[in-house]
Amino acid sequence: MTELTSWSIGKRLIAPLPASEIDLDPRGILFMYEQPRPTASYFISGDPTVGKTGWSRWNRTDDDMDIDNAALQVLRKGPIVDVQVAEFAAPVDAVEFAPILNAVGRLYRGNDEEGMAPMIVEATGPGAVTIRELIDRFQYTNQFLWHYYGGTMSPQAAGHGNKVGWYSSRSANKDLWMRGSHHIHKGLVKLYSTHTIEEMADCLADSYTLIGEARHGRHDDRVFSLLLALWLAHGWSTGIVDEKDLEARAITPTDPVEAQESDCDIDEMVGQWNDRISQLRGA
Amino acid sequence: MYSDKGIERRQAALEKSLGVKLVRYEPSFIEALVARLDEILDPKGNPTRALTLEEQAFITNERRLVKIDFHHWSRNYLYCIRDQGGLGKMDFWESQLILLRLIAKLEEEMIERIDRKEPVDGILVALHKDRQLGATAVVRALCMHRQITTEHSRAIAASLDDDKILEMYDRDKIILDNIPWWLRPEIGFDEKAEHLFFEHLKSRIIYQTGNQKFGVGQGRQFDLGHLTEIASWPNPLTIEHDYFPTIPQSQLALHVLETTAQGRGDWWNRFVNKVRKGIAQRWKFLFIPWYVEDAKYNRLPPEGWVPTDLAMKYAQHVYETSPEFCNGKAVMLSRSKLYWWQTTRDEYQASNALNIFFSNYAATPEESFQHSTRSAFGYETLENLRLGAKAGEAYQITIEDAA
Repeated sequence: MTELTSWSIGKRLIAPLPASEIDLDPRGILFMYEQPRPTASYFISGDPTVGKTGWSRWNRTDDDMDIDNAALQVLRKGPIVDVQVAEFAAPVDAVEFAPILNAVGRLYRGNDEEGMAPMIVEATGPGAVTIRELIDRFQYTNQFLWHYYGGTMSPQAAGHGNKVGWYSSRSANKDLWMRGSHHIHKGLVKLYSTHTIEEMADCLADSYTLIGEARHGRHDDRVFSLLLALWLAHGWSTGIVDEKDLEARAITPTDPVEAQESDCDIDEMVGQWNDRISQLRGA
Repeated sequence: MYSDKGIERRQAALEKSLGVKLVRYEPSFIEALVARLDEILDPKGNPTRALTLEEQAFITNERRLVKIDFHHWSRNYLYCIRDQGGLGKMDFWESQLILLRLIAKLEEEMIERIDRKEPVDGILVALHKDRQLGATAVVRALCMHRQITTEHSRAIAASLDDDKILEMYDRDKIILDNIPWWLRPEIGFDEKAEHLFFEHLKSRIIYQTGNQKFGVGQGRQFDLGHLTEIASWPNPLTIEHDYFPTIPQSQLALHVLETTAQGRGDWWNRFVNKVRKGIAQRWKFLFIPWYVEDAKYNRLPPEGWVPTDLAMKYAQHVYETSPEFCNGKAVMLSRSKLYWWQTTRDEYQASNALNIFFSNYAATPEESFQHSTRSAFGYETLENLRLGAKAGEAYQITIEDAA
């Protein structure tokens, strides 16, 4: 990223944070590791929390470090390896988290036809309020639908209906943890945020519930949110991916472009490519 | 007495008040004079002849210089047990010079504040370091220098337990015992690992342990303080509650808290974060990574050795992170250092103890704060992810009308 841009989304402004405002406390900052591209497939996740109403970086205290963060992750799905492209975490409450999810989800809409990236939000607990805000107030409808395995076949399961968001339970979170951690251990996701990685280091495996949870006094909100994003990106609710297929997905160029023979830098190349795709799509 | 500016000022002031010009003798000349003066004493320590006028002038000059210039003293009169064994003159490592440079910088800042008639905090350093980089030795030297040159110096040395303070006391005694007789102050009381009192200077140093029942330093005031192995203290809150209030807001205050990380989320981890965030404003943070000292942590790689991908990533990581800890210099690890890193890492990995390895030999402070128990994610996974992390661009999300 060579040039820092600002974006207006609804009433929200996403603008570079002045260097003087950056310190060791990452809360309340949207960290962008890649700027949005119109051709990419993005997936957004949100783990809301009760938080502290009215919290911002300008009224934070040392004590509120102990409050659970609402955490947002943005993943770009690649042919083999997914990439973490943005992250936000702060102890904002469930209502205040919704406009943040809305703004980031629309910023990273990528190639989604609805103009909003697919999103998964934990519905259990305070998250139900966040989801209602997203749908009713911001018309953010590209939400993850909760599926019961075999739901269309089993009258009992079908009776539950499809619900919006992730419903945490011992069984669901065990599946979430196992699929996600397997994916991470296999090196199939590229993480850039040290805050996420250090939260991962804080996670202890619980041999009873078969999930990982933060040690006493530590947080795991970014990790849980990351697992949700992976779940959504790979559609693990409805099917699994045979890892043998991953190699087949890798594109081997037959006539590779020699980047060093071009006088473009990487940003110019991406820009040209995006323009070309837009022309092809008639935009 | 640590920075060029501070030393020049003090020397100029001293020369003006005494009406004399201090002489900076060559080290070889000083060495010869020290040897000659040592010969004056008989085996029982009694002088066998009177000092010549030249010798008297030399002693007076050196006593004055030593008082105002720590570096002059350490260069010519400071002895220690060397890393390779045996007694020898202290030859500071780069890891020790990093601390001395910071202290000099803080002294200069303090001088400027005094000139502006602003309050000063003293020199207070939270020293977070990797293993065996000579931190204790250099801080003991700093403390002893002040103890033997400044009247009414009040010092505390504290560590985890009796064994550790005995080590500090022993180091102090080695420094004292090897100072030339004409520079060494007379000792009034010497209780092993408890108390040292210098008779004419009226300076004293007390040794306390972190596991004692009453608060460390409680009820006193200290110009000098050196606390080691803090991350292992059973009750570290005594540092904040009992010891910190004993430090006067004075230009004479010189205090160093020193430790290697011993886990994540403990008092030391939280305190370091507070210092780095600027919340604990009196203290300055210093991290000394394992690779800064050329003479340590090397292994000759076999012919044709090719670093692993992980080792190459690590070398890149050091190159990118080192400017923050090495005075702006980007460090490219030598082959022998990288080979040492790779083979030592593999050795720890074989013992399933990579967390200990990262704590002891970290390239960044963040890396050093490791959990003592295994994470749900393997050490190798975390290591790979850490080496691939990067800083993102920071954005704020605001309501447009309010922006």
